[in-house]
Amino acid sequence: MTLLKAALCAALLCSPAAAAPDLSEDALLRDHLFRQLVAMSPGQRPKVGLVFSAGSLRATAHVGVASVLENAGFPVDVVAGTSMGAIMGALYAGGTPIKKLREIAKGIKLSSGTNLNAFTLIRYVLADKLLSSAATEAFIHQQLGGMRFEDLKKPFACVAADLYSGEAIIFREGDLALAVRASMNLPGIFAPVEYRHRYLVDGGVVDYIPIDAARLLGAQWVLASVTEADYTHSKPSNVFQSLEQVVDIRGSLLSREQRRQADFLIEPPVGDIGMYETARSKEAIDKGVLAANKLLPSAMEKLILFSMDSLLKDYFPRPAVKRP
Amino acid sequence: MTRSLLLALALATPARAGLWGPMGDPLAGPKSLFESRKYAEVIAALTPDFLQKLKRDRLAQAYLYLGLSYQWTGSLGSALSTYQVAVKLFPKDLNLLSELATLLHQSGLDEQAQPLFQRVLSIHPNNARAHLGLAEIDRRLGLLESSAEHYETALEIMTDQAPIWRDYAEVLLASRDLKTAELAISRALQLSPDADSRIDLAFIQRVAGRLDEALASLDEALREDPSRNDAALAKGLWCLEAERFHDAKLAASARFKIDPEDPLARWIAARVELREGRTNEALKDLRVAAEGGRRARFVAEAAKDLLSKLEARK
Repeated sequence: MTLLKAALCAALLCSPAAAAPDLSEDALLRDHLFRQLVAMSPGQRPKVGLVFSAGSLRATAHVGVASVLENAGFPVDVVAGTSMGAIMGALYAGGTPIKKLREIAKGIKLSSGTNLNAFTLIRYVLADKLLSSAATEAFIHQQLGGMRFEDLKKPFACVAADLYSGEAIIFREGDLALAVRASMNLPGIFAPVEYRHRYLVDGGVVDYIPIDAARLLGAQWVLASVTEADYTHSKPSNVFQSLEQVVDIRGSLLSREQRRQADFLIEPPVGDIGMYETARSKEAIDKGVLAANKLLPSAMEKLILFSMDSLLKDYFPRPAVKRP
Repeated sequence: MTRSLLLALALATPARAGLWGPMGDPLAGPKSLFESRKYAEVIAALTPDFLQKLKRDRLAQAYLYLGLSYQWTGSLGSALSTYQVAVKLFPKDLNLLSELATLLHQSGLDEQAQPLFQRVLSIHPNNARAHLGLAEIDRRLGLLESSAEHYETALEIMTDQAPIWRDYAEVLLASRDLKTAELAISRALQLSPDADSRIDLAFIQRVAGRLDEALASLDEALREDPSRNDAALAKGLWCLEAERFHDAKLAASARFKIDPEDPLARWIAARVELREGRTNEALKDLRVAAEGGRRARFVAEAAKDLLSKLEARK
């Protein structure tokens, strides 16, 4: 009780100002410069990439991040994603409205895109046969009406791992649904996808935060939404969980360098959400919103400062137009 | 037998009334003090001993008087303790739940306020106060869609509250629902035409691409409240956007009369000077702005960045 009282007093001292637009000098200039920047055509300002990391169900938090960016009018020129981030990224790049994206993310079930029903599970256990991830392909196909990479509203890339060579394979053209399926193809559970002479499994194994894919699409400034796991208190209770935890941890460890390559990171605190805790997908989305909302002003400022050369061009006297 | 019992009861009743006060209500005294805004006296009257003697149906009301009296005398910690004890005793009392939730929310302790507001709604789904509390909490968190929904329900009852219409408009602006935002802020302006609402209207008009109207709304806000330096500086920046460089310069100059080192005003002046080809003057202004980091961190950072780029071009 005493602690709560102390917290009450502390909170009163630092409680946020009344709910009005931020009219501080910093906020006014940020808003002004950001509007200037957004008004420029993509060729005149740096190309901005949005990257969605892998992270299974945790990656539904990307939808929350995307919604905050969209409400703020944050420019997103290219999109890249891995695994569940590839699904969310493909839908976003395909122009799926945020409201619908939110509904899709909230409605994700254990069996969504996985054919994971009782029969397939029995077959998996008894027949020692990997499951098919064909439903992921069908899902993307259905949501985006059979779009190919070239048809998407924003350029998009996703990553899968080649089991033959161990390479990260970046897809950015051709059959979209198949590429997304390959990117979200958990090894050890789903059969690898054979495509273009490759034997493909989940990209999270080799490219957890696909900054390189966004750069390949021409992004000069990259904002990455990262939904890593926190396994501090996680004790896998079956073969599935154990295998997936190992794969996930390996992917996360590989992402340390990728984090440094991003120009800005948003990390929704979803680490404790289990890979298949579908009941918590709304919570994951909300945590994405919260994290993005908190960091939005800072992301805007970083992008503005990165773009100062572009902004500067508008600051000088305009050359007189010669009349014929 | 029955007669004698009735007689005994008849005799006993006035005695009870005499003991508890003129109306037979033990809370009549504290209530009268509360209504006369004698809050310190309410607190003095509602001692633990007094509360112990109250029947359950009066005890909840007594806790409410006590909690509110603590609040209005500034003893928020005591108010909090009072409501917490009361809510444990009366977990379904809407008034006590609402007061506790509102106090926690107003103190920024939203994580604790939110489940209480939700508990109120589980008892009374249309409770406007709880909807308002949740609308404000969701808004602080950036959950705009849910915030707007709660505001809408609250406003069905609190129809004449201009600040709530304004807050609702701000949520709609943030979620880019500009048409509804403009309707909401117009309602706020009808109820109370103040500078805050005019500034909000200006922001909505600007995002809608009607910069001239937005500047006119800012002018109106400044006429209503000339002390609004923030609105004056916003006008300076927006004049730059509208390429009204002379007006931008006037806005900056007006600010210099009050505060010659205002970082943002220096930035505005520098932008005008650059456009006029007076680079040296612009550099001077940017140097001043770059020194103002303690007052405006980002303005100073942006000024430093621009300064270094301009100096490199020289």
